[in-house]
Amino acid sequence: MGRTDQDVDALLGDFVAARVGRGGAGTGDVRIDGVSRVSSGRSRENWLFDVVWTVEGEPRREQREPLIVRRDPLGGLLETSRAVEFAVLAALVPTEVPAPHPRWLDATGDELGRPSLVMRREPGTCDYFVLNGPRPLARRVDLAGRLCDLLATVHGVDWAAVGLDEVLVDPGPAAAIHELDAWEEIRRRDQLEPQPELVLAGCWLRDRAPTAARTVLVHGDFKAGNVLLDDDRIVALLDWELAHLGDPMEDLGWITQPLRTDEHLIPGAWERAQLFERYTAATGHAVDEASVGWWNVFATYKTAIMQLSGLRSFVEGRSDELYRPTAAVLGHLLDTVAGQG
Amino acid sequence: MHPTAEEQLAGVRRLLEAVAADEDLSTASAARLTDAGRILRRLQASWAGVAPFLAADNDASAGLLAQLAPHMPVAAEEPEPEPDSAEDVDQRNRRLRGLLAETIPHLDEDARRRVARHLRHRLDRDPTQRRAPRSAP
Repeated sequence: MGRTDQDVDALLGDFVAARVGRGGAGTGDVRIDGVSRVSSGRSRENWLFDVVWTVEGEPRREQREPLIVRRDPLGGLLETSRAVEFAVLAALVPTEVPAPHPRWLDATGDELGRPSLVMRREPGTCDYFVLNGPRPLARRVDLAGRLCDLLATVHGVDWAAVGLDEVLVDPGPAAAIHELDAWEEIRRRDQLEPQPELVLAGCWLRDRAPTAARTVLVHGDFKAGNVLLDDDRIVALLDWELAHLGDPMEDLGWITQPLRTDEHLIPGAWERAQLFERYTAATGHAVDEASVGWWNVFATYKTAIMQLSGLRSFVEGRSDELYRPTAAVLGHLLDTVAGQG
Repeated sequence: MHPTAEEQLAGVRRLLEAVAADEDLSTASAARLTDAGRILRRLQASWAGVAPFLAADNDASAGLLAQLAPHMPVAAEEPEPEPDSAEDVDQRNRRLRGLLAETIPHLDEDARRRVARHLRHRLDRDPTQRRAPRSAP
């Protein structure tokens, strides 16, 4: 399923050569080097490579730029737009948010086989469970605090000033209903059979949807697994495909969702209370805990729908990995509706 | 009757494990074999329980829908005997779950809680949701 490394190598070679030649005046030979696929990333194909070129008239001066291409898979958990992601990354360049620097876009997939975006590659690694990994507790708590500050920086972006309102819709105070509508639409599109569990959860959420006190740039999948770390230094926040304008409580609800606390919290040392206190100090905005509770349930609902999309991809032969709404996810939603969650 | 479906699935898994032990296998191929083994393990652990599970769920769902009939946007199903074939049992289950999904938005909070308990009970008994033992042959 999918292209071989050699196919991608050839496509990338032509794609990059056209752009380096066009964009860099005076460039001579252009080649790409070291194309390899990385296994991280559940929703996109990520390929690493270097672009290498020489400056005309200076044959010994070889330039090298490490890059990464994020390419749509045939199928998977999410169907999002590379063009929108590219525009978000471009808008973030002048801000303090350490997002990957976007280089080129193939929005239609005409050149790289499928829609793709190319970004500058930074050093470091991603570790979903770094907060509960082998580092000493003090370093993990310090990192957790800085991750919270990073989220505050994202929420502090003046999105209108950088033109994000030209790319993303501002749902205003109705951000919760806006997101619920969007994910219900995905459920209807991707479900292969009736899902009364999710209809029930959707009704529960609709009856209790909070209003947003302000609109911010929401990352949509904020987690340690999407943060590039070089030792303890935060290098970049990755994976902006779910970014949108909305309620800041949404990201807080995502990172405190009960089924994934081992990714975001440290038992006894970095719990919800510490996170909310730090967030309030960093942003100057109080955390609405009732609203975060709603977004916690929404996070599980959204996960279930991603799993439904993954199931459809598998059944249609577009993905090798068999996803389906899990017992943990559905059980949490049903217990919530039954008043036992 | 031998070979049972379970025995045949176990045989396929043995074949895949033999291929997975090949040291020359690429990382991508090894990952695909792991995925295939996981799917077979789950199927092996659950397939025999699916038909009786669906038949029991059909009974329970039809009973619940009968209680919810006053709220339903469409007429409730007439009581019908459980079909004989596994395929028909599956079709009926899909139809009943569809009716339930259509009905939920018309229910009050108490009735929705009742539906949630019904679905939780179903989830707890769903053999395809049980974690397959890794050591199963």
